[in-house]
Amino acid sequence: MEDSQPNRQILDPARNAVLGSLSAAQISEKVKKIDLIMTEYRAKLDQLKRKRREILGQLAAKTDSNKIEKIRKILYEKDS
Amino acid sequence: MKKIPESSPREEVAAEVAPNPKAPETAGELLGYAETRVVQVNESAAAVISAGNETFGSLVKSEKPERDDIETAQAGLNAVAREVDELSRVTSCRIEAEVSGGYGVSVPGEEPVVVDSSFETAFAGEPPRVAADAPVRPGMAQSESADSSPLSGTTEATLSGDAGVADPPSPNYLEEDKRYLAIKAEISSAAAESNGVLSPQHQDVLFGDPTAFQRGEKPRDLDQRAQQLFAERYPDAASQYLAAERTRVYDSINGDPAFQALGEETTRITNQDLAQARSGDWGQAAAAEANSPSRHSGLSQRVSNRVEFQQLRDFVKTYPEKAAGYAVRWDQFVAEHPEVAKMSNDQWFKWCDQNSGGWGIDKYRQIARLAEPTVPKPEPEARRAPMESVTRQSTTEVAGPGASEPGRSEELGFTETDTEVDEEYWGTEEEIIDSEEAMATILAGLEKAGEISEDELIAHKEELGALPYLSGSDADILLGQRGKDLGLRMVKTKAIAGSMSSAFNDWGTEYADREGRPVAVAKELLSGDQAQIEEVFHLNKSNERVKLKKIAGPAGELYFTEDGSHRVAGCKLINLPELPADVEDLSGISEIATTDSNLAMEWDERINAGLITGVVEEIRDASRQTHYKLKIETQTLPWMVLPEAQLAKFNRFYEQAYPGGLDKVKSLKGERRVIPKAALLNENGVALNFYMHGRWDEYLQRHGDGASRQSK
Repeated sequence: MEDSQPNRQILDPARNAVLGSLSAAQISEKVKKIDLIMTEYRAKLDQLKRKRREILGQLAAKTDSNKIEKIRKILYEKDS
Repeated sequence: MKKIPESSPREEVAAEVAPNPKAPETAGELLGYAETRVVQVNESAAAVISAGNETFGSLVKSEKPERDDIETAQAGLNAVAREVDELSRVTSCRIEAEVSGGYGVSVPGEEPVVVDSSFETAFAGEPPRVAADAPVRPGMAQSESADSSPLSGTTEATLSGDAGVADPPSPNYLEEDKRYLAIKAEISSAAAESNGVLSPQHQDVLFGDPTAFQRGEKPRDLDQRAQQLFAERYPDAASQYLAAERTRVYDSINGDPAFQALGEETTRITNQDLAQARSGDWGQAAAAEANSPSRHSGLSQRVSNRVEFQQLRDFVKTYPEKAAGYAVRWDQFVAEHPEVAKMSNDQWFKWCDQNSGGWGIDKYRQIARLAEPTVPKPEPEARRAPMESVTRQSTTEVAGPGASEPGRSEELGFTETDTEVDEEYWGTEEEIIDSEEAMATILAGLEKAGEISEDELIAHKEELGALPYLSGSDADILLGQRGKDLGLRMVKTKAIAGSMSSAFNDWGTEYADREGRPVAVAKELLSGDQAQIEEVFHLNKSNERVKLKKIAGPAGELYFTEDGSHRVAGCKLINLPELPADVEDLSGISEIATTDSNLAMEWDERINAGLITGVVEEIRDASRQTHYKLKIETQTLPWMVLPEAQLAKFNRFYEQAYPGGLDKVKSLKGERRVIPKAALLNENGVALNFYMHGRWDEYLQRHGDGASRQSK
């Protein structure tokens, strides 16, 4: 009786029209593009992870000297 | 330098993208594939942020760095976390946009591209979106103008008519007009001549407006281009076709340009609303949800549902003839599939999921529901949607003083006489009490009730069924909540509105295995023997007492029995003024949940309209079932969370119980104006919808004095 609209989550008629008319080749192309987006995402995420490691590395480097005195100072200020 | 702990195993697992599952071959599989990727993005981002915090915490704990260094590192990590969050959000949006064909989807930092392709706009002569400096193909550049078009001479010769001369169209619709067909053919052939032979599909897209395609926009298609040229050359004929178009009912609603325009408008408004939410215009809670990688899709879905519903309502108003025509399709469907009439909303949505074309039929169903109050229908009984049929039937069962008499129901179901209820019938606020005080109050009440013989009790029992009664199932979502325990209270018997038991239909209901129970209770009470009264009310056994759930309205309370419906019926039989019960107060609930997306949408609308203040959250559980949680700050009425049909029914019962009780219910936003009573009492919810969308004056104009009188 009516055109197929398989998933109610997709309410945007324009999107429905786009998806409904996709050929197997077009779907394959979209999968490739999604994979490409994921590759870019992983690369950028890795950059941010490196950045995070640098920050933590700097913090660790500063704990080498006069650690006890510094901790006492922190605790004193915290308690007062 | 200290060795920096490597990323935690959990983080690495989450950050690694799992090997591709089976390659998607269908649109549905593609959606699933994209959704999996979005989940992976969100989870890996959350894991990276979490792992950074964990490592930081353990470093601080074990190495005890200086405070300044801690703060510097903390600020740096926070900045990284924000970048990770933003990266995951943008990536999710990019994947979503890819699945959506890049059309009408909000991507941060990019304006969504939405092109109006409606028939009406095309006829209104809106020029195609051609940038002044855009490259133009030679053949198409000339065809922009009817006067200079190489097509014009050919077309006019073919049609034997002058451009712009009134020439009443003989066919009913544009696409049957030979002049229009000629324009289409000429556009195609001229374009094909200059571009080579392409498939019809490519011609349709490319030849409509190739410059748009080059600019990466959605191009006007061949039909739109031809419509525009036709309107330029034959304006009178075009206006007649346009008039015919306004009432035209298509074989499939998806082929109706007016309906297609609705979809595009829905996308535009949804994007606009989401942008407002992201920027904080809707408050902090909405902004947090809109900017959250894991929650923004839920908000997007709810907004889209709401906007689509509003657009459908406007469609019905703008095109009543079309709406009536499409509503008939639903009637036909119900006639062919009578089983759907008994389905709940959830069952119906499941049916739509499982049956090809189901969601298309749902469009007809929605239009039928929306069209019902305004469009004359040949067969009103057949026009109702399944849930409405059920609701209407039970609405007629709402018993009020005299409401069961025939001929008393008018448009809103109440006449002037209906509101003349016994004002003493309904109770006032109860006070906490101990068992001794309760017994004393009962005995005093029994004295008032006087002596009644068993024959009289049996005779009066028949009248129980005519007493005001509101089934607990008509407020089930509210009564199912856990409220505040108020302990033992004396409650006005007549303020007890109904039973939560599904087996109870009215106060005269008797179970087959406990026939005569209300009369037996009445006899025990009338004996005046305290032991027998204790047997009824169990004043000294709290777990066996009558249990009531209380909902406090602006003029007084209503109660529903959770336990002890027959005991309450027995008290009503002898007109015992008050009875003791353990009371649970539902008036101040702060959260309520549902799996019904329509109800969640109604909550959103009521929040926007100032009937509720709060926020709707969407939660998806492990089994992928979606739940919606309404977090309530305040409500105009403590039952404002009820679904539309139940809300109207509850309001009507309350107004019957406390005449004038809904006179001064005020909106929670703006100038806190009084909400028109007719908007609260209107049976089918149409009046409330008009009110919520700021169109109350329009409603009054349509419904005249009846609505005005109810508004007062």
